[in-house]
Amino acid sequence: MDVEDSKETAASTADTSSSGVTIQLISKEGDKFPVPITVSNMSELVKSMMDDKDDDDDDDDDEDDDGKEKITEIPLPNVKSEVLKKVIEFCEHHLAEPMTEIEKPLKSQNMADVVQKWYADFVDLEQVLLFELILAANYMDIKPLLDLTCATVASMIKGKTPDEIRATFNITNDFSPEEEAQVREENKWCEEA
Amino acid sequence: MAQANSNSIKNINNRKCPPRPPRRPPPGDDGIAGRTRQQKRTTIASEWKNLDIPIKIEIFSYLDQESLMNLSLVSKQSNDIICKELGNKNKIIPVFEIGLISMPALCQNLLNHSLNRETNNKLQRYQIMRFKDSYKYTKDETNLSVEAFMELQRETMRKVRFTGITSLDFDGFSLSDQITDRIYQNYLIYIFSCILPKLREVKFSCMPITGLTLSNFSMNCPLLEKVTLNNNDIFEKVIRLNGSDMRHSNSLKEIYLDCSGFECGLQHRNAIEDLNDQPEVYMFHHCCKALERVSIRNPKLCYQDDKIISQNTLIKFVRNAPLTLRWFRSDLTLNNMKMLRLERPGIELLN
Repeated sequence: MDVEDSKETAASTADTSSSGVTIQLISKEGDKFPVPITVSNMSELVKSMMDDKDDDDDDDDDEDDDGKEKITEIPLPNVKSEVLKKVIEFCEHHLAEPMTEIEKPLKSQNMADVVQKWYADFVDLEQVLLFELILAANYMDIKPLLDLTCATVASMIKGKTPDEIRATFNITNDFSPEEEAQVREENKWCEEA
Repeated sequence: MAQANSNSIKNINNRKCPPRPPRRPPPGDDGIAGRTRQQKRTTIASEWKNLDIPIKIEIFSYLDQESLMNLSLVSKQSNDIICKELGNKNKIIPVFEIGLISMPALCQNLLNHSLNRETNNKLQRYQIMRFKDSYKYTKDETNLSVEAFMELQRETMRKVRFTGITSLDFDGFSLSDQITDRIYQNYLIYIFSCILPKLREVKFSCMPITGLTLSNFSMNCPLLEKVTLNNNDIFEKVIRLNGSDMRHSNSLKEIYLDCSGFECGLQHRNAIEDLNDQPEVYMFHHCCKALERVSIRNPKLCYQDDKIISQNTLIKFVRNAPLTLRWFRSDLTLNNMKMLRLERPGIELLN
C-alpha cells in the first residue's frame, strides 16, 4: 500500500484542523486515506454521505458515545488510490490557496497563463491520469477540480487542427468527405471569387 | 498518524442499522456530477470516447469559436454535442466570411444568392460577417463601366438583406493605396450598412473611415450597440467629437475609439470643455443616451494647432454622462480620476 506520504500529509492537516474530525476515504483498492473533514467536505458527494451518517448517528446516539474521536469511513469504489491521492492533494492545497476562477473562453493554451502556477503544475499529467482525475472530480462532485481538469483538456484542444485533435485524443474520423464539407459550410460560409 | 486507533474507528459499513428509506440524492445532484454519477457508477473511463457527454460539454465550455469549429470537424459525436446537444450553451456562431474578391463580383454574388430562395434562406442563419485578406477589394479588373457598377451597387442595396448578421468585422479589410480604389471601397462599406439591418456590432479597427461612414451605419442599422474604430487617423479621416456621426443610434452602448482622429470646430470646442457653462454640450453628447462603456485613449484633434483633447473635455464628459455609463478609459490624469471617482463612483475610470 503506497499511500503513506498522503496519509502523513493528510494527518498533519488533520491535527491543525479546527474541528479535529477525521474522515477515512477508502479507495477502489481498499486503501485508507485519513483526511480532515474540511478537506473531505470539498466533495459534495462525501459531504452528503456524511450528512446521511449524521442522521443515522442521531438515531442511535447512545451506541458509540464513548468520548473518543470519531473516524468515519467513506468508501469511494470508483476512485483508484493513485487518483484519490491527487484529489486529496488538490483539496488540501485549495484550502490553503484557493484557485482563481478560470476565464471562459481560455485565453491561452498554457495553463500557467490562466491559473496559479501550483495548479498548472498539478495538472501537468499523463492524459490517462488527467481523464481519471476528471472522472473522480465529477464522481466526488468537487467543482474546482472539475473546472481545472476540464479546462486543461480544453487547453489541449485550443489552437489545434481537427487532425491534431484526433491524434491527441485518439479519435477516429467518422465523417465522409461530403459530410465534413457540409459541417464546414454550416459553420462558415466562404464567399470568394 | 499513519492509521487511526482501531478502537476509535467507527466503520459504518459494518454497523447494524435498521432498514432506512432510500438515500436522498446529494445536493445539486441535477448538475453534471449528479447526472453522470447516475448514468455510470461502476466504470472508470480513461479515454476521450468514454467521457460522458455532460463532461465533454463542460470541456467545450472553455473553447473559443475557432476551436469549437475545429472540434466540430473531428467526429460526428463532437459535432452533435456542439451543435445539437441541448445542455451545451457554447454553440458555434456561424460565420459569413468574405475573402479575396473584386467588388463587382462580390455584389453580383450577393445578388445571385438573394435571388436563389434556397441559398438566401441558408444565408440568413449566419450571424457574424467578417472580411479576410482583403487587399484586393478594388473596383475590378473586368472593365465594368462606372455607370454599370453604380447600378449594380444600387440593386444590391435594394435587394440583398442578411437579417441574421449581428456582427460585422472589417478588421481584415485593408484599403488600397489608390485614391480611386478607396472611393470604391468606401462605397462597399456603405453597401454593407444597407444590407445588414439587424447589425448590433461593427468593428473597423485599423481602417480609416469617415464620420460619414459611421453616420451611415448609425442611420441604417438602428440596433447598433457597439462600435470599435481604433487607429483611425492614418488618413486624417475624422469623427465628430460631439458624437453627431452616431446620433441615430439610440441603443449605442459601447464605443472604442482609441488612437483615432476627431474633429471639433473652435466654437464648439470651447463649449465642449467649458466646465462652468452649457452642461448639455459635452463629448459624445449626441449619442450617449445608453452608453455604458467608452474608450478614447490617445485621441488626436484634427484641423487644430493644439491636437490634444483637453482634460476639461474628458472631465466634463464624466460629469455629464448618463447614469448608464459604468466604464471609461481615457487619458485622464491620475489626480483627475481620483477627483471624478468621488463625484461619479458608479463609473470605473481607467487609463
